[in-house]
Amino acid sequence: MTQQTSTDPRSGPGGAVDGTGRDTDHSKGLSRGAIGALGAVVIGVSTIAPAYTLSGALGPTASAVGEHLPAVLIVGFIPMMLVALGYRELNRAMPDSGTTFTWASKAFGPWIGWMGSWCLLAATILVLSNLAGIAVDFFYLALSQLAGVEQIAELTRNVPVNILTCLVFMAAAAWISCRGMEATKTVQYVLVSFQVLVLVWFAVAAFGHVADGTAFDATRLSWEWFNPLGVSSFSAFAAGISLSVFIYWGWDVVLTMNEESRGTTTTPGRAAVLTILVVVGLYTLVTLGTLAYAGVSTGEHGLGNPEIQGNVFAALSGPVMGPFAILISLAVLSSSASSLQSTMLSPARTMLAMGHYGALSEKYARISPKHQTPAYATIVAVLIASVFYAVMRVVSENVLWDTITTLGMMVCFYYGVTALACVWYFRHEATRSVREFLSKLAAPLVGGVLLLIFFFQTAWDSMDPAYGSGSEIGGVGLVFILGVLIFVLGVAAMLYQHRRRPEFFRRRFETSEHLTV
Amino acid sequence: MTHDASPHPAPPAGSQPDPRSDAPLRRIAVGFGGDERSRDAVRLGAALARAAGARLDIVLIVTQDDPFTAVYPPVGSISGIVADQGAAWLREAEELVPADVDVTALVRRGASVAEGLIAAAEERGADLLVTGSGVGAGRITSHPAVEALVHSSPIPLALAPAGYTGTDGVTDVFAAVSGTSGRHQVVDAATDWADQLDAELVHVTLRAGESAPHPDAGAETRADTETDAAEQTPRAVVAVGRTLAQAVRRVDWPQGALLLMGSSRLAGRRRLFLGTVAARILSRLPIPMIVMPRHEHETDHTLETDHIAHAPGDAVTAPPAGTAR
Repeated sequence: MTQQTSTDPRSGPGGAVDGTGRDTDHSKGLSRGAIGALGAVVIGVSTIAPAYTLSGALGPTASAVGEHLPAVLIVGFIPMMLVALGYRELNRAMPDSGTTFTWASKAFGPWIGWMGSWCLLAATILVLSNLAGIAVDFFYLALSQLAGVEQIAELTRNVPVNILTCLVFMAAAAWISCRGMEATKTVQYVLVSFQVLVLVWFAVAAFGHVADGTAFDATRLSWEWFNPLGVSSFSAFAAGISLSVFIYWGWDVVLTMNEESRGTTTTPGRAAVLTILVVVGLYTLVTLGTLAYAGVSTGEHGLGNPEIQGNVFAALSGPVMGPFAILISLAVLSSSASSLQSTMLSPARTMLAMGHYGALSEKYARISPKHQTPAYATIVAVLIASVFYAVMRVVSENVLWDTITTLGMMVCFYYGVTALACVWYFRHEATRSVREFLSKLAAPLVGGVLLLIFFFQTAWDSMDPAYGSGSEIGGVGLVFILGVLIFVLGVAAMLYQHRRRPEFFRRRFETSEHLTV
Repeated sequence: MTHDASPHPAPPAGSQPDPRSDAPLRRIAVGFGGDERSRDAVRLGAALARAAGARLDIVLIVTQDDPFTAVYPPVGSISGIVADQGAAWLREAEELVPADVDVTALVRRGASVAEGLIAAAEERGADLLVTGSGVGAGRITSHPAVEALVHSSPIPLALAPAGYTGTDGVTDVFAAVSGTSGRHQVVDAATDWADQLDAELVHVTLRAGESAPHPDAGAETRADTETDAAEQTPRAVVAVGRTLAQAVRRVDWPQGALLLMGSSRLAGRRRLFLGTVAARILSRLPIPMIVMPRHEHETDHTLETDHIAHAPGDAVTAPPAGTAR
């Protein structure tokens, strides 16, 4: 704490006013209250948003790996965990503005930092559009269930209505974000408990139908479902894994919580383990229930039916839960709405950091004085996500499915890059002890390499026009075109920034240069 | 009476002695957020500090995320960037302060702007907290922090009206009193303030809904001024209107005036609470309003009635000396 000495008023005019910031006094203020292990688990589960994730990703994953869904869900967690260990170390070393952007810039220089950050931004903007899309589906589904009029649910298939509703949702989320409104403890606890309860109910009801013979395609549980080696091909396995990376996306928030402000140092570790137990347990239960009830056929409610794969719960909640199907709709709706909120903060803050460090125009570094939020960056992020959604909704046969698949690829890439950044950043200190070797080098290295392998495999496979939902442009799969387009745009944007702001690409990147408040 | 109405002339050498140790205003904290309303607050804080010879602290609060707000994917803390930006805003704020005012700019962290400001004001031993507001345009407050402060500040709170310039200095201190009861603690405070600020003390009573003595009071109400010839008795102004807002408009508020007002009886001990009556007055008030917190030794004779714009306040006690130094 620097207690600055103010000038005596008798010393005359101008004595105390100094434009250089010499008079600016900074010190530690109050820190926000500590969070216990339970609170951390709630935050973790809320960020993973299991109801939304399962609804969006269950179908595409099932279409890739069939009955081996539970195996892939469990195995898919491994690279995620390995990378997250590296994340945690980086976050400890560079807690301020700890982003892929600053970390990768520091480890590999500004060029890779810029591209890694671009992929992170692309992934978050993709997920924003997917979240809003899922929210639109369930909004009309919930309305139709409330009113008892089935036609309302069909409104979501009306492209103009769908796009318009989505834009309204995005605008609302952006407004809340710019106002700096925050989810509070009570809200998070209520939303998370509701989600978990409803999902368990769904799984139990599905098993109930299997038991009394009213299931759509009752399938006997089999240990083979848990065998990852039983997946038909490596391509299918890679596709399944990159989707399951998306499914667990969010879990690492528990590890990267600022330990200092949370009171204890043991909480994040314990909370991370607890969170993963809760989530893997929940996913396994729901997956088993869904598989047992619906099977993987291409029949009306089968998980292999491309008509329902983009949004499994929308199709299955009615047959499984009967009159209580509205609860699933509400759970998915609230989980995607709160996820929309927490995800919106991320690209805005990443762009804020990029603007602040000169990697983007200074406009992105603008902070709205009244609410202390990066208003300009938020609006740009929402505009891009909205335009992206609108275009995709028109172009793609199954926008939700294709965005999820592309998203899985993007997440694999930026996670992979971040993991390798961790390895490079800690390469000298990693040999100090076995523990440090494992957490700073071995784990992130293996995890990062695995994710990049899955990334390249998925990218290669996605050239096939039949990949994903089967959308294509000129005989090339839409997912591949999306992925390549995002990369090419990223390189173009980077080269443009290099011309406009060469200083950033020349600088030795350092963090921890902020005022410590 | 003497006061300096010119904008910011250099004072005669040595004209800014430290205020006496029992003066009500020795240290003034301004809450600054970088927006236009915050600049109003700085101008008011500077005008008061200059008139009182008090020290000025300009405080910018960097708010923290609620721990239950998850940001995903994790992007780390942006409070460092916000603090950098805040420091730049503070440098602009310092330029609004006349050169002869002893000013310090601070960045502090807080769960909310209001909590942070209260903590910073207490840390610096401030006798007054100044914030901007959207008042004067029919609205009460424009910032959630101001909304919170008018219901929780433990020290007197000054609200600068929108567009406050401070060029007239401080010429008059109005104490809001009820016409019915005798002596009020807000009067003691106002007397001390007027004394220190070298400003004229005025007692003002604002009433609504009383049609007497004129039958068609809506049109006929006016601000009655009864000036007492005796030197000790301050000027008294009684303004009656169909509504309080109208009564407020009837008063000819000088540009350099302040209005001191007590807190509502709803206020906790040693806390401040802007009552509905005060809020209604504030919405039409073109001059700064200072709300006084309730004192522990509150007595019953200072009831806030439903039509009299008075609420109990307390004499401002001298602060603990030199907390910040």
